Parts: sequence; C-alpha cells; structure tokens
Amino acid sequence: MTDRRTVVGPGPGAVGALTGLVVALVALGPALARGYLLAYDLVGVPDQPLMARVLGTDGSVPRAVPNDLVVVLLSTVLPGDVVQKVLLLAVFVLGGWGVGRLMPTRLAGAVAAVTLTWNAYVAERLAIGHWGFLLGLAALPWAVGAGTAVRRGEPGAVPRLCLVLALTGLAGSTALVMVTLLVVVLLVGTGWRDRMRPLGWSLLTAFGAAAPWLVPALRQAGSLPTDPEGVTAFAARADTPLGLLPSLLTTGGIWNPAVWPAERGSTVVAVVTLLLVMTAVAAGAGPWRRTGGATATAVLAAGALGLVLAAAGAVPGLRDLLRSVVVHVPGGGLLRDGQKFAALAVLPLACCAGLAAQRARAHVTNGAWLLLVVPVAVLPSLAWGVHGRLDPATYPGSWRALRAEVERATDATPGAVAVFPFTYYRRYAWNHDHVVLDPLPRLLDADVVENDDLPLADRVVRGEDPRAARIRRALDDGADLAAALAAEDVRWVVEQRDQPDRTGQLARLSALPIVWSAGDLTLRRVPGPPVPPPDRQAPVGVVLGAVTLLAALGVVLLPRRWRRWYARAR
Amino acid sequence: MAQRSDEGFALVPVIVSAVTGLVVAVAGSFAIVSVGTAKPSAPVDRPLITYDSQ
Repeated sequence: MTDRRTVVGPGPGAVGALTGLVVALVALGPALARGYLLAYDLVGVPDQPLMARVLGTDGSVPRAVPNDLVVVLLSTVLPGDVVQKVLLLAVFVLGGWGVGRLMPTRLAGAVAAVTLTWNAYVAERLAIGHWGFLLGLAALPWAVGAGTAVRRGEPGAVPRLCLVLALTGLAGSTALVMVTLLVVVLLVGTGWRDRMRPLGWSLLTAFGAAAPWLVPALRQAGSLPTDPEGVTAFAARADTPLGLLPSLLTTGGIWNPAVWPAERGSTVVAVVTLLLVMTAVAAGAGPWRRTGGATATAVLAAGALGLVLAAAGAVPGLRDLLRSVVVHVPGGGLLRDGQKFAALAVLPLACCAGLAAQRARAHVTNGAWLLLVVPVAVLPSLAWGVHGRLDPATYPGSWRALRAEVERATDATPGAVAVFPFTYYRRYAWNHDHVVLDPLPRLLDADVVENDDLPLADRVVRGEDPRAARIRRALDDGADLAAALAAEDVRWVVEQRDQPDRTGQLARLSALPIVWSAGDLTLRRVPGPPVPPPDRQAPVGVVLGAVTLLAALGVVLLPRRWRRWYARAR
Repeated sequence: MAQRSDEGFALVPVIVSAVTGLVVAVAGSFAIVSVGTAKPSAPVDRPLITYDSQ
C-alpha cells in the first residue's frame, strides 16, 4: 500500500508517529503531569499489588485481565502514575505511527494520524477511561500492515502478524477481539484458500493471547449470569442531534451521556462533521482501493462490520440476538457495549482522510496542511486532558496508611475486606470530584468485596459476584449486616465517610469495633470464626498468554539475532 | 530548515503550522465548551454516584 520511493527524509510512518505525539501533548495536556488519573474506569493506584484478581484466578469476572497485570508489571519499574501516562501516550504515538506507515506520503500520513487519534471515539473512550480499547485502536493499523504483508506472501510476515496479535492481547479482551476480527476479514476474501495456514496461526495466537481472560471466563462456575439489562443500558446512543447512525459514522455514540463532548450536541457541528466524514470517504476510498486493492476493501469491510456491531444493541432483532449471546455465552458480556467496535470504522476513515488530503494537495498545494486541524476544529473538547476530565490527583496520606493497616490486619486475622458505602463509583474532593470506580480493590493487597452492581441514572445493571449480591440483599432486607458480612468471610470493613450514604449503611456498621481511622477512612473489624484460605485457581490463562507472547516474540526476533551472531562469527 | 522532498512537501512549516493551528483551534473553542461546569459539593447525603453521573 505504501510507496516510499519519492520520499526524502522521514517517511510517512515517522511523520505519523510525530503527529501522534503532538496530538497526544495537546489532547492530554495537564493529564501528563505527575499524579494519578482517576476518571470513571481509569483507575491508577500507587504500587498496585499482584493479586489473584489481577491474574484472573479469584473466580471473579476477568474484566481487567490482563490489563491490570500489565500495569502491575510496569509498576515494578515505573511509578504507577507514570505507567498511566506511558500507556496513554502509546495510544497516540503507536496509532499515528501505524497508520502513517500505511500511507504513501507524509501529508497523507500526518492527516491519517490526526484523524485516527483525534475523533469522538478517542474523546469518549478517553473520558470514560477505556485505555485498553484505545490501545486496540492503535494496534489496528499494525495488523493491517502485517496482514497486507501476509497477503503478499512476504517472508516473515506471518510471525509478524502473530506478534501484533500477541502484543494486542496485553491490552485486554476488547482490543484483541477487534484486531482479530480485522485480521480474519483481511485474510479471508479472494484467494482465502492460499491463506488457510496464516489464518490458522493467527487464530491460534489470538486464542493463546485471549487465554488470560478466556480461561477464567470459562471457569466461572460460581458467578451469577450476566444481566441482560446491560445490553439495553450499554447500547450505542445518538450523541448528536442527527440520530444514531450519523453519530456512529462520525465515530461517536458511546452509551454514556456523561462523557459526550459538548460540541457533539450542536447540530451545526454534527452536520459539518458528517459532511467531512462523507467527503473523506468519497475522496479517499477510490484511490485507496486502486492502490491498496483487496486490502483496502477488506479494511473498509471490517469498518462496516464494526459499525454493525456498534449498532447491534440498539437495533430490534439484532438486540435480541445480542442479548442471548451476552446471557448464554461465557465471556459474551464483552459484546454488550458494542459501540467500542466502532474503532474498526475509525481506521478506514483515517486512511481515507489521509488519501483524500493527498488528493487535495494536487489542487491546493500550499493549503493542504490546513486539513490537519480539521479534526481538531470540529472536536475541540478533546484537548487539554479531554477538557479537564483527566486531571491528575494525589492520594491523601490516609489512603497509603490504610493500605499498610489492612495488610497488617489481614495478616493477623485473614479474611476478605468489604468497602462501604456498598457502591461501585466514588467522587472524591481530592480528585476534583470526578466520578471514578472505587480505587480500593486495586490499592489494597487483599480480597476486596465490592458491590459490582452498575448503578445508572435510570436503572441498575446487576453484577455477577454472588457474595456482593448476598450482602446487598442483607442491606435491602434490613438483616444483621455484621452477621451477613461474617458469613461471606468478610473480617474487615473499610468505611469511606466522604461518600454519599443516603440509606444509612455506615450507621449499621457502627457497632463493629474500630481498629484504625484517619482522614475520611475507618477500618473496622468484623467478628467471626477463622476464615479458611480462599479457593484460588491455577493461573493457567496467564501462563498460556505468556507462552503465546514469548513464542511470537521468539519467532520474530530470535532468527534475526541468530543471523547477526552468524554474521559476526564469520 | 525545511527539508523539501521531491513530493513537494515541506515538513517543518507543516509541523509549525499544524501546532499553531491546533493551539488556535483549541483556545478559540474552549470558550464554547467551558460554559456551565460548576462542580458539586461533597456532603455524604448527596445522591448516589452512578456510572453515568457527570
């Protein structure tokens, strides 16, 4: 797809990477300063401990496996807040670099990089903290590069494609599923019989890379079934006045109105954005299909598939099918927030935009660079930490003290820790009052029982943890809370006194003895008999994932090293 | 100094212009989206915090 013969100096890939870096600096801005980013599902903690939950061996739904493991491992060499920034920067730089490599010229590479990394999808997923999805978006162009090489029959292309898949696995289930879908669409199609072996290797690698979350998902005998209500609750929604389809076509449409960029609500901005998307596709798809051939067609087809998956939860008929998959297929809950698959449509849009800009340069040689700022002009609130949504915070000293205290307490009296008020999301004054998933389950080196019900403005999507469900029932029924906690092997309770507690949950804990208190945090002991050691599964999934990654790395890297060694030896 | 390739595309002016354009676009648009973003207080009796709370 790329013809670099006419380029002197840095190629389109390097320009794409540089563009991605500039975009990252503008988009993240103050978020890159020291401090932890805590926004919705983006939760950074200092020195996140390696626990069963991180390895997917505690029997809970493996939502953050292996993402959290990656964070834990990186946190052994970098501070936790720096790890967050590195991962977010990687989204922009890797994405820009990858898509730039697919483009024929530097202008096309730069425009494609801006389009891939500055759009409603990135703004909304960044605001809600889905960094793994965004790394998946950044991996898509790399999969196209390697997949194109496989289609051409280039030597070493299959291992490279497998390595892309294995590395994408580190970004979590959604990223891997997106990239695998793209790879399958790339390798099937005309002449697919000749690519059966590459397809087989790719799927084998994808399954290996999926093992860290797939194995725990399949072994979840004790979990409650996924709530079908989530399909409706997390279905894509129109975040523009133009309706669902235009919202998805302009890369937006996440279910959560709280993270919609404000300007998407303007009819003028929405119409202009839609016209820009249509112009880019109309002007870029033709040249792309002429030069990229079947690869371009496949990427466009994968984009269409992504849009169908994104819309599925909102379309009658498809919604029912989706609901039955989510409820009956292990790991099917992965599909309920379908809009995340719109990332598959962002990539072809970026490629079309790049090629359209290249085409425009023939008419406006000196003005084509202006196209670089078009994505920014229609979506300014992605700038500067997504308009202040990503704002670093410092944990109060009491939080670090609590961790040490809980470690001492659970060493002396083993048992689970429950966090009250028994709700999933918090808002802390020291975190600029941003909504965030409770950080304590990640901060504490303990088995933390949290209420995994997802409360929404108009409904509650039930969680899957049976322990949490029984504690909720005790709370609702007015039963003896201490006895209910003790029955679930909870021996310690952390109270967060700065959180909403309209149902008086904390008052019902007041009889429990206080063992420690500082700031807004209190640790109480729950009397009860000794707790047997928790039932942990072997980390089969993580081991399989690690073996897959090492094998892919080995096949790609080792022969080259051997060749160097052989050359030196001679 | 700008490095010009035979594709007729000068790199440095593009980067400088792009960065300037980004800054101007962002700064100019901030006034529009900055309206009405008062932060809530944090008493314990405020409403339940939901996944879709602002």
